[in-house]
Amino acid sequence: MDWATTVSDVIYKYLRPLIRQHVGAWSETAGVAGPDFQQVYVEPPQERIGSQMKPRVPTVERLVDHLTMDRNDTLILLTGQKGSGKTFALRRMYDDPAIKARFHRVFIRATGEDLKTGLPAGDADLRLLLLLLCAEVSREFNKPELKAALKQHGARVQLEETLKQWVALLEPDGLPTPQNFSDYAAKINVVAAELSWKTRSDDQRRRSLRLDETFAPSQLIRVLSALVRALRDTVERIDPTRDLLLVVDDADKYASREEAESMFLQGTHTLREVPCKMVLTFPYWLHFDPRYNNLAADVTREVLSNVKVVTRDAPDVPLEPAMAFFREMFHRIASPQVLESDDVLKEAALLAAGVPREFLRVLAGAFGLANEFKEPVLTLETLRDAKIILAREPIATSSTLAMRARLKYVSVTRTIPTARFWELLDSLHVVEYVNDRPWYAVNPLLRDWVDEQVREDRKALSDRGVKSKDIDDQLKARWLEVAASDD
Amino acid sequence: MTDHPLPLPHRRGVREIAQAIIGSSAGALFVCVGRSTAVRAAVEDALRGSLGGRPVVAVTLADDDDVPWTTILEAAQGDVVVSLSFATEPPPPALLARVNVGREVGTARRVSLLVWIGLGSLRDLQRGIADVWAYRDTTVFFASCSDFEVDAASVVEATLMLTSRLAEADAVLSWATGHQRATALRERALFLGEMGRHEDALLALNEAEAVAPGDRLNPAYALTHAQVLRHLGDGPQLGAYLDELQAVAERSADYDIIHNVLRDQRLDDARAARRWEAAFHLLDAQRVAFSRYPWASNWFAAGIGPACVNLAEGMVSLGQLGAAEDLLREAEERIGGLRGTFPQKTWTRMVAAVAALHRGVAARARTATHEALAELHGSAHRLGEVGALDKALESMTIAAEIYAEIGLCGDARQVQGGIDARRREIETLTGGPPTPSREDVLAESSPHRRTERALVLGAIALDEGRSNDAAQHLADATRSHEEDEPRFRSHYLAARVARLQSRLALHRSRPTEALPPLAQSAATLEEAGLHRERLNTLFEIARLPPEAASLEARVRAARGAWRIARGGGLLVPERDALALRAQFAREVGALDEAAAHEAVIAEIDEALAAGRSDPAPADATLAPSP
Repeated sequence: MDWATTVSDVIYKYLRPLIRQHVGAWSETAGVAGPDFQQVYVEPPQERIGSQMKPRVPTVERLVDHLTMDRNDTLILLTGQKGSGKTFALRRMYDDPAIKARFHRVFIRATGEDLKTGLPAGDADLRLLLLLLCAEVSREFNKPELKAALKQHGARVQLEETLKQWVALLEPDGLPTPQNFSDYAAKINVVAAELSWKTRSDDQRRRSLRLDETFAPSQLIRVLSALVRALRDTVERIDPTRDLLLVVDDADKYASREEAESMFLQGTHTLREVPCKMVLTFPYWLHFDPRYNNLAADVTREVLSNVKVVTRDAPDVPLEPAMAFFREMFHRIASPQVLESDDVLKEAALLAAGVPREFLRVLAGAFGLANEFKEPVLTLETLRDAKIILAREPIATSSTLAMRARLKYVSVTRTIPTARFWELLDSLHVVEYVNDRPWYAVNPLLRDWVDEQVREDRKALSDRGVKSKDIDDQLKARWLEVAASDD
Repeated sequence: MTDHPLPLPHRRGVREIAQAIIGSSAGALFVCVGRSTAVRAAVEDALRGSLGGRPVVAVTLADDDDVPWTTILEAAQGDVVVSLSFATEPPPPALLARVNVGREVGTARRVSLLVWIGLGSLRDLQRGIADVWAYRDTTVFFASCSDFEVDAASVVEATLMLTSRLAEADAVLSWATGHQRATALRERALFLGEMGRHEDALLALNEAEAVAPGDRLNPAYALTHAQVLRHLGDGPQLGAYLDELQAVAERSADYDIIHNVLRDQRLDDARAARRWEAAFHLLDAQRVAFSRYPWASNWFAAGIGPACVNLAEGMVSLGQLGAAEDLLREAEERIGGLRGTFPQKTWTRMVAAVAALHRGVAARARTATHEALAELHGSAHRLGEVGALDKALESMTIAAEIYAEIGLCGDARQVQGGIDARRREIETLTGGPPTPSREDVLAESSPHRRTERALVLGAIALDEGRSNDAAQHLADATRSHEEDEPRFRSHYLAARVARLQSRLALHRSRPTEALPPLAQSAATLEEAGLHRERLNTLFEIARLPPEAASLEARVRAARGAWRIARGGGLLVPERDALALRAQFAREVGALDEAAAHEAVIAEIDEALAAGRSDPAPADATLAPSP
């Protein structure tokens, strides 16, 4: 196995490519530079629930179990804080032997594989998502084995009729009239892909599509269902033991309130109708929204936790299972000889708050400084030096009074009280600790800076004669008030 | 090509980016913070040089670019590094949303991308491209004075307004007599006071009194009168004047304006004399009145706001940053709650502007450099608008000092040049320089001042080898410091006392007594968030002789000093800390590390020497005067 033995190799060959997931995580990036997925993927430690500390089945295994053991068509919604490893988890699930054996897998990236497809940023909705799924599923019929099977067996008549009815609603497009299911699927692929491209770049087209009943969700779900059923039938004809699985990554990037409401709140009941198993990522903030908890009970919701790196009572002591994870993660890419001691990794894991990508970023910053100092190994003190430099950016983006008030509130209460605070999780100003009950803290890089301000605020009230038992209550009320103002 | 040489902090940024691009075959993504197009062009040039001539192409995204990644990738053909900026700042959210969904394409094509954003829009970028942001290698700061509002033209506009109103008053004086003349003279005093010409203002007030003695205690001019006396440091006259006002107020049955003026002036008097307990007691009385008389809340709020801001300045000077922030917040809250015509009044806007100035000074004490610059420039701008000339130039002067400290000497000169030009213009308009405030005289006998004096004398005595005298002065300083009001003892003076104690212990060959006061002081300063001052104490520890502190303690102190300096971008302390670290590294045989530090020291020295001729970013011009 290739691994780094020098400080500069650790940074440039491994840590920085990994931060950008430059590991050929999906097919389109195959062949790019950077470490191989199999080399760098490490199973997260088992989560434990409650005081009994019973191990909880890891997220990926839970996903695999849901998909392989549940007889029904299941919609699974998956989310996690940025950097928690959603794409890696999906990739790991996708490659799981049980999934490979059981399913014909279709991977769909909501943001598109190139610059022509994918949902429009900031203005996606359920119609466009369904249209994208239609395009991707119909494209799947182009695969030679599926094409051949479809040619040999044809599709069920009622499926063809559904497509025929819908295609008839479309304006003439110059393509020859379809003669069979394959042709219809091909036509839908062309129409949907073209519409995807046009609606991605053309606001006017998007607006008119939203008014066009041909593309109403009720219509599109019928078309998508027909395509999925046909695909499923075809897959089954090739191998009767196999089923169909759609995996939709990056839908979580459509995170505006309007997009999320359309696709994941109002849209869930429509997506449930897709007649196959489907895994779809969704925006992280949505799982804090009470409406999300009122979604249909048969929609499985999974939140990929950050690695549980500390407990609430001992926030400075890294837990051994977490350390085993981070240690292995590091040693998959670098020789132990580039570290002064294991304490360096412990400190990095603490500073990363259990978020895998932040662990890489902290180490990249620290190794960068070691490189500048011409140090042959990364020492604990150099890592602490680097913390000062790494903290400059989050401090620069927290300078308004409102931001500071939010951070102070989270620091003292360990909660996020209102929707105004959700975005702090996306920007990693605040991190979520798990696993029994979630609790929140400011990003460890900001902790000293925020704690200092909390101390000053407490002292100021104390100097004004406020009783010590009342100080925090008064401060919390004041911080909440300031936090509500604009940045 | 640009002929703009980069100052050291920016050169370091270029080096970091170049190393990453050269070292990684997977492309790179940097967020570059800085609004100056000249700096950006110079960074691109420097990067081309560092990358051996590899093309660096500047791309600006138009607000309505529907396919930004297509634009980026079209530019990124071959081995090109794309330097991406936005046509407007902050960029429209819809554009950022489109940029946000293309990161995989960029990664797959191994694009090396620099995304430029002004400091003020950094948070917008982070929010808008949250997913691309998550892929960044790091964020590099190329901020310059272009990132802040440095428009001081309004200072001159405000001066013009004052001078024209002064001319109107003078025109009246050319013919008026009696009561009309007294009124014009007091108007004249008011405008001269605002221009900082307090001696001339006092002359006008005295003449007005001679013309119409009955108006001496007119509430409309009482404020000007008291402020002029305070600025001139005339304690006895001020006291007598306030007592006269007091007598008038006691005769008055109603709660009228004279009470307000008197209360505010008493409070200001206590503040200027550094009698903090008394000042806060008076503030508390105002707070009580504010909540007790809701029908007159505007009156009280109008007094509380400025009082809080002025007291906050005092708290910043003591190193009590939390108390200062608490007061500034209260000031803004009171001013924000004003009704009627109050919010439009100049002084209410001035309260917010002065609050920003004090926040800037507090941020500097914390070594939060960019925050300090943003507050100071913002306050200078707003102070200029409301005609607070001296304060506006004070803000800009501190900003210029900070630029010099962080190695942006061209920016420092640019701002300083603006200050000098404005000052000259203002002096031409107002007929001479402002009288320096002698308000400090009012605090002459305070324990704070006595401590300061004793510390200065102690340091001189020690330098001259008079350790007995030094010990006496240290004892005086310690006693005076303890005599100060416990709640309001200065953290800065306490740190200086500790440093003098330590130096004296060494001088008297008692090395074991040298470290403890310093260590205690460093901890207290850290607790108080006064990192800039802590630097001084850490250097003192790091420079202790081996018999006074272990190598480990000295190394730790040098490292702590380096962290503060590097975190705040302070070049001289960084160099000094590195010199100590190099020395310690050599002592333990870490020669490579010592050499690396020495190379940085040489680079800093060279930059500091060259800094005298560093030009400012070409686009960082101050707005022209009208």
